[in-house]
This record gives sequence, C-alpha cells and structure tokens, in this order.
Amino acid sequence: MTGVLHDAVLYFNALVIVYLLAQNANQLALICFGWREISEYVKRRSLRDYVTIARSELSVPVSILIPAYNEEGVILESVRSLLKSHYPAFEVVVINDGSADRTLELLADAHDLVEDRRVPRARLETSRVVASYRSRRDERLVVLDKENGGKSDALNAGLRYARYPVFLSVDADTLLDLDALPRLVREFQVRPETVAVGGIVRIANGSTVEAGHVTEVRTPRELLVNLQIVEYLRAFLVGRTGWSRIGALLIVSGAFGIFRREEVIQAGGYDRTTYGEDAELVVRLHKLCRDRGGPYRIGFIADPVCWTEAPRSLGALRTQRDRWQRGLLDTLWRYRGMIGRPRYGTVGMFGLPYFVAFEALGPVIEVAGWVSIALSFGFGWLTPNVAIAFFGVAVALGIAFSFGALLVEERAFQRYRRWGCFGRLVLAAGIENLGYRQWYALIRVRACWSHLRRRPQEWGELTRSGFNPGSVPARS
Amino acid sequence: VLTNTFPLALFALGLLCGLMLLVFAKRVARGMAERRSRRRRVAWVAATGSGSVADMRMRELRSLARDAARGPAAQEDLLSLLSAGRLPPRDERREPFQRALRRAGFTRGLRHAIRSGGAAARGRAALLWARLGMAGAERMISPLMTDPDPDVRAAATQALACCESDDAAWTLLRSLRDEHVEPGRVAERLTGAWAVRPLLQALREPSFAAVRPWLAEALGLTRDDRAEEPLVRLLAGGDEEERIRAARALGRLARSTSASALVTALTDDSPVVRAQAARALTELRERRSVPALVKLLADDSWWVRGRAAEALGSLGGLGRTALRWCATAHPDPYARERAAEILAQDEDAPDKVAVA
Repeated sequence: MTGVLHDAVLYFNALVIVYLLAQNANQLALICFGWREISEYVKRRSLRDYVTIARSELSVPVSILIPAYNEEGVILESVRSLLKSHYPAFEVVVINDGSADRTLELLADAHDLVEDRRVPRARLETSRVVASYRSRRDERLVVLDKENGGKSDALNAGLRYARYPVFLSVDADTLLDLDALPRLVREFQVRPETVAVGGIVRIANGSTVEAGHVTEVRTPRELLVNLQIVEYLRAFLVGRTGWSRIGALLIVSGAFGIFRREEVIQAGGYDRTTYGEDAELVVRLHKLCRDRGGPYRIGFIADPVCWTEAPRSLGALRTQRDRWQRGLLDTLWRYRGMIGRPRYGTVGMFGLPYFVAFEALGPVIEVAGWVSIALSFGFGWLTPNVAIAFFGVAVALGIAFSFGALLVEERAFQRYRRWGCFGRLVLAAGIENLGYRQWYALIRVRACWSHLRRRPQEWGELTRSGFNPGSVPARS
Repeated sequence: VLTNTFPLALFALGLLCGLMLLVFAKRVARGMAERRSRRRRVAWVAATGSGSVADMRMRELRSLARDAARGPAAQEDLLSLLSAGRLPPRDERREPFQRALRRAGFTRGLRHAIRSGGAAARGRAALLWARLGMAGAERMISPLMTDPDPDVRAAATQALACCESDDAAWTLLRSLRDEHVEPGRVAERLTGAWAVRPLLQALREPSFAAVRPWLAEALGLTRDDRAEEPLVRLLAGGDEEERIRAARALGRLARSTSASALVTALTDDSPVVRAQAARALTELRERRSVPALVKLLADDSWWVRGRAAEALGSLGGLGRTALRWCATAHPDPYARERAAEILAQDEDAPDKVAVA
C-alpha cells in the first residue's frame, strides 16, 4: 500500500513539475508578447494625436455607465472626475441599483437633479427603472434610479437609456485620467472593426487625489495593497497586453471597458445570471463575431488609466477574488464548446485552453502540489535539498515574472516616480510569493469548491474609505 | 528526476537577482534619458534664439539637428517642441533655421526614415517634415497615405493637415476618395479656410461623387460662408446620404438664410434627412420653422418626431406651446413621451427631486 502511495506521490510530483514548467513557459511567452506590444505602443506614442480627438466634432460620442450600489463614499468623486474628462461629446449615466445608503441623495444634492422622462432606446430585460433624473448643473449627467437587480442588470438598464453608439462601463469606485476617453475612442476610429477595448486599471490607494483626479501616484504603506498593485501590473501590463497581441483577450475589465453599444445589444446585453459579467460578455462577443465571420477586434491598450480603490482587508479581498474565480469558472463552463475549435481562432485554440489549464485548474494543482511535496518530504521520499530546490524554483519564477511586470512598467510608463514607492513595489514582488500567493491559491480552490457545490454567491460589502478619506458629507 | 536540482534553484536565484538589477538599471537609465531629453529641448530653444538671426547659435543648431537625424529620442524631443508651437521660428530666423537643419543632414535623415521599415520612424518623419514647414512636405508625405500601417496613415493625415496648403488638401481628398483613411478622420482635418476651395472644387468634380457626403460634412466643419450655397444645392438635389450630410453641415453653418431650404427638407422622403433637417433647425433657432416642426410631430418615424420635439424645445415660447399641446393631446404615445421629456428639461419643470 505504502509502495503504491509512494509511486503515486512521486509521479504526481513529476507531473506538478511539468505543469509548473508549462505554466512558466506560457508566462514567459506572455511577457515577450506584452513587452513587444508595449514597446511598439511606446514607439508610436508621438504619432497619436489625442488633442484632435478631444476636440473634433466628428469624434464618436460616448455614454459612460456607472452602476452604483451603496457607493455613498465614492460616487461624488467619481462623477466629478468623469465630468471633467477631456472629450467633446459624452454623457455620464449613473445607475443607482436600489442602494440602501445615500448614494442617490448625495447625487441629488450635489448635482441639483430634477426628474426627467428619458425614453429607453433599446429593448433589454431589466428590473424596473423607477425614475430618471438629469442634472440642472451639467446636462451631461443622467441618473437612473432602479430596483436592485445586480451589476449586470444595472448595466443593462444603463444600456437601454444610453444615447450614444459607444459606451464605457466603469465602477463607481474609479477615477479616470483626464485624457482616457480620447485614447480609448481612438481605437474605434483608427480601426473601425474594433468591438471592445479595455484600458489599464491601477490602484489609487496612497496616491494624492485632487478635484477628482490622481495628481501624484504613490504607493501606500499597507503591504496587502502593494501586493495587489504588483498583481494588477502583472495582470494588465503582461497578461492582457500579451493576450491582446495575439487576438485572444478574454477579459475586458468591468471596471474600465469600452464597447460598441449596438454589438452588445445584439448580443443580448450583460448576462444577469453570472458574477463574471465582464468576461462572459467578452467571450460571448468573440463567439458572435467569429460565428458571423468578418474582421473584428477586441483589444487592450495600456495607456488610458482608470484608478480604483483596492480592498484593504483580507476579508474584503477574499470576497472579491472568490467572485472573480467563480465568474471565470462559470464563463469557461458556458463556452466550453469553443475550446479547441479552430473556427474560434486564437480564442478557441489558445485563450480558452490556457484559462482552463492555468486559471481554473491552476490553483487546484498548485495546492495539491504543495501538499504532495510536503507529504513526500514528511515520509522521507524526498531529500530536504530537493524539496527546498523545488520550493525555491517555484518562488523564484513567480518573483521573476513580477519583476518582469515591473520592468515593463519602467520601460513604458514609470508612474511611480518616487524611489520609496518603487522600492515598496520591488519588496512586494519579492514577498508576494512567500505566503500571499499560497493564500490566494487556497482562496481560489475554495471558490472552485463553492462553484461546484453551487453555493449562492455574495457580492459582499466592500468598505470604501473614499479617495479623499473624510470627504463623504455627514448624514444630516 | 527530482534529485540534484539544488544547482537549478541556485541558478534561478541568481537569475532573480540579475532581473532585479535589470529593473533598477532600467529605472536609472530611464531617469537619465529624461534628463537628457530635458536638456536637449532647452538647447533647441536656446540655439534658435529669441529675436533676430544674430541670436541664433548655428553650430549648436547643426549639432542638435545631426543628433535628431540619427536618434528617435532626439526626434521625439524636437517633435514635442514643434507640437507645443515653440519651434520652428515664425520670423526671419525661419529660413536660416531650416538651412541649418538641411546642412546637418536632417532632411536626408527624414527622407531615409520615410522609406524605412519601421512604422514609428515613418510616421514620425512625416510629422517632423510637415511641422517644420520644410518645402515639398506634401510630396514626401503623400505615399504614406497608402501605408499598410493604420497608425502611419493617421500620422500622415495629421501631417498633411499641418501643411495647410492646396496640395495637402488635394492629397487628403484623394485618399478620402480612394478609401485609404477612415472618412471621418480626413473630414475632421479639412476644417481650415485653406481647405474650402479644394473642397468646393471636389464637390463639383464627378470623380469625387462617391465621397460628396463627406465633402459636405467637412464643409460644415469649416463654418465658411462660401459653403452655404453648394450645400443648399446638395440638400435639394443630392442622393439620400448627401442630403443627410448637407443638412447636418447647414446646421453647423447656422446661417438663417438656409432656413427655408431646411424647412423644405422637413418634407423629404427620407426620415433621416427629415430628422437631420430638424436637428439643423435647432442650431438655427429659426421661429419660422415652428409650423413645419409641429407637423413633423406626427411623422411616421419616432426618431423624426423626437428630433422635431427637440427642435421645438429650442425655439422658446412658441415652440414650447406646441410641445405642451403635443404632450397632452398628440395621438401618438411616443410623440407625447418625447414632448414631455423635452418639456421636463425646462427650468420650470418638476421640482428638484426629493429623496426619502
């Protein structure tokens, strides 16, 4: 019996090593693609005339949709930031998704809202929209008050009432760079086959925010937030840039993504039964466009920046990541028919198989690998130097890829100007693989288990301190 | 398999340290490059002088130009100064400035870059050539309008617009006709007074018939009075797309003399033309159009009714009276809704929302 277990564990260890090599080879390929894409982007920066787009009367008008549920801490700052965007034609549509707090009240006070009778311009199923309001101070601001139905439902309501042919979905806890809109819209103008484009989401915790805009980028002292900053850099600058390069981008972040409205409406809008509505929509768009035939593009560009507030506690982070993992699993299950089919191009042949092998199964194999190595070491089947070497290689490769992301950041943007802030990120990239990565793998395994058992999902309450803590007006 | 992997771990750790050093080195190098770039920009401005030719430091200019001919970073610096309008000088120093650049081999470098394999180099060279105001820019840049790379075509479009000449306008018009660039991107560049004459001439030429709608759009953006008459003619006798764009363009010109043509267009066969004419009348704020707009509230197309309601809303007292009638008594429910929506945007509309 022990002999069978011995053989099984050692074979599994070998399998884990092969898996680790394959995963890292993929990561390396993504870094190479990402580096190439970013380098090309940097080289061409001076060719891009965003000023004309920001002034032209022929620029595509954009509806900015902000679903808001209990966002009293951040909503005013977000709306203020969006309304200052440098762009000639846009509207900001805030969808109050039945908030129990003062989200609507604060908006009404700050923007002098009056009820109007906006007529829906698309047919999509949503919860009842109770009323629509517009601002007397800025006619570009529209607020929809609806019964609670979740984020997808709120976005669909926004889509129904939006006026313009292109819409940008942003989270309520985000701030946009002033010139983010021209940068995103340019992709639609220069490449008319574009269906959706994602921009980079960066973490604003610790940065200085003035008048709704990040004026000085800094990192906070909290380790947990710095770990997330490194994670975001890796995910966006390496992951999404790389996937975009080969035309297999599966996620346009719900916090910052711009879409052709007509295409999304034809696809049926956001799916109200999933929590990974952003990935689900993008994969559905890929499927529709591929089935229909003809050229199309779903891409990512790393320059337009959206700033968000990251969770500061492990509990909030766990809830967020649980939701992300379950959303991803749900999407992969729904579109399993696309996997490995050449008609779906790089999405079916590379993107989806990668996500199944390394994002859905990855954490399970990773955790099983740690257990297996520990067992082997405990039973004396593995010498200490081999166990340490295995651990060392796994950790070193993880750190190397995080450094790779920092290298891309330094090559292209260098947003973190202070050496102190940069030092914190380097430190976080090192520490990330010593505890945090293993904890995150466990969270994802737990999410997989909950998904299999079909446990109901929760959005959870993310406590927001606001971009300027203390900026929320006191309850009167 | 798992034995003797310790050296591998050591190698990985070594690699890691190397990578960390590389990250720091990149940061330091980037900082140095930024400082160099700042110095270079200051040097360009200083070498160009501030008033007379005597102030110019020709040797330094030639040295900077030689740098710019060779390296992309130096070209980017020069381009940023040109975009900010700090160079080239617009007085008597201009000619010696350009001569210094030519003597330093800068123009030869740009010619070479325009024919080079790198897309970024081609686009940058086109922008530099045009923004420096060098002779023959149109001839140098026009081949790039058929470049396979969309970024280069966009840069070439931008560069030609900087030339502000007849030749540049015709090159842009030909690329519009031959569909080398997205039509809206060309139209938005042809907005200066320099573009009006070529636009009007192209509007008359049969070879440009397919792109007349975009010519009309561009003429509207010029806001030049000379465009009114041809646009009115196009609105009366063009095909549907031409009439749509002509109506929009007349709205942009906002001249009261075109009101009667637009009112006539409210009875056009095409609902899109009717809607655009109603929208254009919103810009004109022409009270004579009220009866025709009221009639349009009973249009078959909901979109036209909506535009008519918006136009009436913009016309003040008389228009709003018509809207009030429409909001309560119009037989079509959508017309009632749209009229109510427009009326609600009035300052006298329902009070500020009270939230429980």
